[in-house]
Amino acid sequence: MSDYERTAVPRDARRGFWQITSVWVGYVFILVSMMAGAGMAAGMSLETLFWAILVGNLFLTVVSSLMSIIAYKTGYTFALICRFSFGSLGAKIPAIMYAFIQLGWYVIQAALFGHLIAVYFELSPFFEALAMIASCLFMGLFALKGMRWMSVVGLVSIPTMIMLCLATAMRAVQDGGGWAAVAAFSGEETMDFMTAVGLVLGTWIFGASTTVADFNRFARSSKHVVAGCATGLLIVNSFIIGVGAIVGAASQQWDLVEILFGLGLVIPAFVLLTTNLWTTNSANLYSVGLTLSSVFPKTSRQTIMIGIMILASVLSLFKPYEIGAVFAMLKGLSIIVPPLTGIVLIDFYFLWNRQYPGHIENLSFKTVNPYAILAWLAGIGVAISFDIGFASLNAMAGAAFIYALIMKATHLQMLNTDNEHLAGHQKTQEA
Amino acid sequence: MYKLLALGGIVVLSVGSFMSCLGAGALATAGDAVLLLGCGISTWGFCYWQPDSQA
Repeated sequence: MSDYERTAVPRDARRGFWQITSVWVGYVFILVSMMAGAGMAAGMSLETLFWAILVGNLFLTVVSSLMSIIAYKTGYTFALICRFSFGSLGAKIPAIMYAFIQLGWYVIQAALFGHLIAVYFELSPFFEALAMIASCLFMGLFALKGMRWMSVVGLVSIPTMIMLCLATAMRAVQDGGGWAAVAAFSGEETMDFMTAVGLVLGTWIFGASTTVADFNRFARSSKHVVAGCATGLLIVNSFIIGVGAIVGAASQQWDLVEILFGLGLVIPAFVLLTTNLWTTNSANLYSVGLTLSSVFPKTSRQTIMIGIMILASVLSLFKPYEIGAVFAMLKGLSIIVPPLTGIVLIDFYFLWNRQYPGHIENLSFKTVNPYAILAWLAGIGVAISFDIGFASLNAMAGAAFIYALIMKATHLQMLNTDNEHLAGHQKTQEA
Repeated sequence: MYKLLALGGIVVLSVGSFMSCLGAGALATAGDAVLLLGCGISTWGFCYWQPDSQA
């Protein structure tokens, strides 16, 4: 069953706003964001935290919209889009890195769900391991079927999660002494505003700049694309981090599992965690399948995804759900992924004048673009070297600038000579 | 009919959410059942109907 993993999504296969947005919002609605909110609440005042949430998600909305428009216009997956800047073989490098990171998120969230089951039923380590393995296998089932089944999961899960989050927050505030007591709560002031914004960026910079393309390639209009991105990030992600912060401030804990059980909300806890982990992890696995389909074109998407599910089951036994691993990954992603996004965005909007050629299956690319890889590494270097502003933004802008400069200076064509008539769009051809 | 099931199920699960989270005793237990019932009904409905599914 093809979900257009190696070609553009044709116009007659595009989907409506709610079908796309339900998958994207379900993807964004994630336990880890709530945990991040609760963790940040312990380190700063709620007022500062809410401004950090707003600023961070505004930036994420802009990035995801720009990337999504590329996917909508071309109908290509993120992995296919990378070929225009990195080359046919070079695109496998970000693709493999991307799949590795997605796998990491998949394992963390599936293991977290297994851990929840083990905590509630007081399971032994052996049965906890079985629970984590079962989570890895079951969460991938809907992703195997493709976008339509993932839409069903999203359409049911999103209202469920919203209502449960609202109800949970109201209960936590009620038990915490009322809103006045919660609003007066202030963390230990161990985290500054910029660090908090960086963490918010880190929660979704990866998905907002890469995975979002895999869903929005099915969109019917650019308005749907932008509205969907704003709904998912500016509204829903802000909401979910904020709820985590409120519940954390009311309970003075960062472990959401313990918070929900401490409130006695067992069934709602299971429903909330099942719906939000399931939707996000389905999308993770779906995206991994699409990406690795372009890396291994002779293997079907379903076979790849089954292999990933088995691998994830093994990796879950290392218990990656502990908070240290989560925050370390978030901070790392905030520097490594943005340069890649900066290169893709400048390539499409500037060097290719907002139009990639169609029928990518018939195009012949250069094998590797060393300048793209150089710019990517340089972007990471910029983020590490400049301790001003936001590391993610610095990395993205630095890589984009260096890439554009080198490509214009070298006049490198990414399409081979037999596709020369298509290369005319690429601005590097201009004297 | 499936549209009614899908949207009606959302209403039911919403009510169940607040009952189970804010209620106590029998009300909370009933809320758990209503929440699960609403999830099941809406899933059934969305399997056959989805918003803006017409081209």
